[in-house]
Amino acid sequence: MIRTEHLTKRYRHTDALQDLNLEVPPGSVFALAGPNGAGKSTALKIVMNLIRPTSGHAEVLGVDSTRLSANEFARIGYVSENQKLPEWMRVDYFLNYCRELYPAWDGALAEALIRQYRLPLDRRLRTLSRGMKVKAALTASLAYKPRLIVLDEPFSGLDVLVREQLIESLVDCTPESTILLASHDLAEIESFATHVGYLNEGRLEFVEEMATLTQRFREIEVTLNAPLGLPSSLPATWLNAEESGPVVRFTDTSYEPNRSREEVSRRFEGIRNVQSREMSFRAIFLALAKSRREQCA
Amino acid sequence: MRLILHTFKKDVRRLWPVAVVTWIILAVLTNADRWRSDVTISPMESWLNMAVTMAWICLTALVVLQENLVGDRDFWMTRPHRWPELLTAKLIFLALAIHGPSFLADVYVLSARGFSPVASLGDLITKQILFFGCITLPAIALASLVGNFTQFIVVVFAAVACVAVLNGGLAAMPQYLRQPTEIRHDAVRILLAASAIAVMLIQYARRRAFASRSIAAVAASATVALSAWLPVQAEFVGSQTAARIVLRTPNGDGIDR
Repeated sequence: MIRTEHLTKRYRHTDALQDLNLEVPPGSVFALAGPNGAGKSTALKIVMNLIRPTSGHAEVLGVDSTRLSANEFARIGYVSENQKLPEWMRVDYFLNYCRELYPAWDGALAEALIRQYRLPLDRRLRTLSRGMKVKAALTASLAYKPRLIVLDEPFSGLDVLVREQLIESLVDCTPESTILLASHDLAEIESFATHVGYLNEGRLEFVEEMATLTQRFREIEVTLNAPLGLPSSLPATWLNAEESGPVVRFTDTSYEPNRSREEVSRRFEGIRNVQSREMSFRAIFLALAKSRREQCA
Repeated sequence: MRLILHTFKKDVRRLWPVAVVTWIILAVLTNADRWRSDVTISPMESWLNMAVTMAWICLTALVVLQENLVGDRDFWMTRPHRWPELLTAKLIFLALAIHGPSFLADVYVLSARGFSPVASLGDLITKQILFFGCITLPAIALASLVGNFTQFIVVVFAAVACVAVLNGGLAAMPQYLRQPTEIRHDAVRILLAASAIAVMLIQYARRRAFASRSIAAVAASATVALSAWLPVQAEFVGSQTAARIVLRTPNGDGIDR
């Protein structure tokens, strides 16, 4: 659905994106996560042909992103947090205006979304709250059932209820669509992404299915008989190891029950208890970020 | 065609008040022109001429900026617009809001003063073509290079200031160097129109702001150079050649001077 090869974007002295290789499988909800300034929006803008890459290339719906035409845009929905909408338009005129652009516009679906979002049709876009503007933009981007939906931090700054409502409608209305979402909101990603790519300082740190990601990350807590300190060398897959009295904690990034237990037994003496806990995506993200910080320091 | 009309109707809905303002200024100017007894225009008419030109330039910018061609945040950029349809919609709007009324105003003044508009149709159309090439096209090109209307106005005022300096500010230059001649004016017009067409097409087809701005900068520099420093000898030779071409009839038996 989307494929990027060695995608790089340089602004004067800043590398916004470095050698990004990515494949978004059809039907997936692919979340591009990372801190602010990681290059998520840059990647999405290149994919949507809003900016051009310095080198490398991106392919969207089988077409080079720099060659995207009306035919492809008719099958793509794009909503961004800082998109400039035609704010002079009333909501009803805005939706009617969009309807004419899309042969596949589904009037019944648009009506359902208007009802669900309680869009005030008689008001101008400029008078709407940010949440309502996002709802109007989403309605104008979902009503033609696009094959690909690209969302650039669309829900940032919205309250939890509105966010949940929008995510729910997004998944319900477009069950066959592929979704590419850029977000630094980890709870948002966790709630509906099937794949995740983690960008940091323009580089892709990892790409993985959410299921396998949460499978392989575990927080391990080893309780020893007496405090012995941390072993001099630890496996590279153990992150953020720290001790507190007789208790040692770390994040295992390639957890497998038997193998991990054996590894712990080999590294520590006088083990009283070993506990492994599943980690939320937020906890995984924080563990990775902390590990990077320590490496940099 | 459907999407051309769709975009055109949207622009009309948005910009009809501005178009009406330009028509009011044009109507006042046309009325003054119709009743003028002297060949010299009054100061008020001068101001009205300037006002209507500025109003047309602003209207042109506003219609282009409805679908801003610079930046990466505009809603329309990720919607299924085809650039030839978009550009055609803009040109139709400008033809109907600016060139049509201007043409009708000229027809009215000619008729009211007892001349036949039909007999002068060629000149009337030529005037509109010149107007389109020298005012409308450069305004479209400039609007396609800026991010918003404020930037457009700043650049227009900078250009007007530049022209003012070139016309009056270079008083130290010998008079003959500043004397307007047809050949110099024609060269500037052709350069302006050609570069404006290039910029407009690149921007609508590819949205390459850097390339288009480079073309515009080169064209502006060349225009200044042509206006200020075209050697008088070259102008003289050019004028003579042009006169020969003009005075020859199509079958070649014209007067050759």
